[in-house]
Amino acid sequence: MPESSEQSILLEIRSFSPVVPKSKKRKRRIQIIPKDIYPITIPEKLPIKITPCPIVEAILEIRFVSNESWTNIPGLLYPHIREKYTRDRKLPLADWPEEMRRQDPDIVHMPLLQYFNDQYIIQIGPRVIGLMTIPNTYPGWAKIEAEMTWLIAQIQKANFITEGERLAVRYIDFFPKLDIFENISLDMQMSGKALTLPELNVATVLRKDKMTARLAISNSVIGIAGKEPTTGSLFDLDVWLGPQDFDLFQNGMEKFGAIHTLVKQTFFGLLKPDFLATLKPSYT
Amino acid sequence: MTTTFPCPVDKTFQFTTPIQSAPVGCYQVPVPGEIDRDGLAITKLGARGWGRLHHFRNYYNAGWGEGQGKPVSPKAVEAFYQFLALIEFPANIKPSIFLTDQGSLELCWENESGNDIQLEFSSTGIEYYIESNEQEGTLGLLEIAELPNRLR
Repeated sequence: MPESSEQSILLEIRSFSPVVPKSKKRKRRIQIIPKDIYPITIPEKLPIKITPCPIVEAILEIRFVSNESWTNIPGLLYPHIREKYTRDRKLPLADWPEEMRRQDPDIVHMPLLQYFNDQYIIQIGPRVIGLMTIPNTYPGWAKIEAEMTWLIAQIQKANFITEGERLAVRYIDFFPKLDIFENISLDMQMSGKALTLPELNVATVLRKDKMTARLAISNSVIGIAGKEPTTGSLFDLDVWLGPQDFDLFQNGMEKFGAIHTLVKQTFFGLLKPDFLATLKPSYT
Repeated sequence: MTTTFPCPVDKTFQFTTPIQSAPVGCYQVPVPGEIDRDGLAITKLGARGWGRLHHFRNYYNAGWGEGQGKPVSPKAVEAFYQFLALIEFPANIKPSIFLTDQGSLELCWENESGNDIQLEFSSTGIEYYIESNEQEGTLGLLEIAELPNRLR
């Protein structure tokens, strides 16, 4: 096992199988997890539902390059989706001059327009298109999958994607009035002592097979629970595949399914069992 | 750091106050998941090559140049990084990188004997030309591991 900090992830994740012999277990040490091992133990069974559902938004996103200019893309797509998506709105970024947007790599993949109905939002920009659930109304994976299958067929008809760049599934969960760090298998230490702070934000990147996962966790955000804003914790997980690992129109939905599975495995793999039990997990 | 970070070469708009994120004086946070690749590009291509690659990926959209330029192919970029991980360039050689109007990445350098080596990474494969033995050919994207051997 490598000892160099450059080669290893130094987060202590309790769910990782112990290597230290039992006799030495009392002397609690940070184990160094090799980079090529996914540092989260994947549960054997994954719930299909928890209550209350913490999912604020689920987003299925395709980043792409196009030989079409942005001014043409909405016009190519809209005729194919207008029967289901009757309303639209321009996002604030759309009011920025194109020259300014073009010069900022941080916003190049941001959407400029949304088309929506009562269940979903399609958002689109010069290099991105995504399907998003209406906040706090998660309909379940099976329904999202069916809608995305339909959307990909419409995108194919619209014919503006030259090449796929990234295929991603992102779930944003909010836990009101709760410090998520007390309920997940992820410990932070400072000077050898557990870090329990009222404002703690952690972001990291994990890799499994060909997938990359960006995990951002915070115990100090304001979200909406019911209809009222409240403080709480955020669990934001974005998992994606790169350009050589999918073909949108050949195997896009299959790949979305695989990514979604890793999202679930990561989320439930990090929850402590006693916390998960309070969320009334349903497996059937 | 002795180099500035990549920023747009042709700023149409200028802010009167420094509110832009780039150029930044002392550090830049890469896109999540890209730190290894950025490190690789800096090591193998030098600051200039890394900066040019950053420009090609972020600032060259459809219609660049005379209006017909295509954006860089994501598959070509992926293959390009895979190649960088495999290749060791001669000491003190930092290859030059270009974006073609077809959205391919071109990499050129001279070997120890001063002969040109040119590679073009596109969405479908890699074309190579080796001046020393007048050899040229094409490899598929999945054959990238073979490329360093062909260049020897």
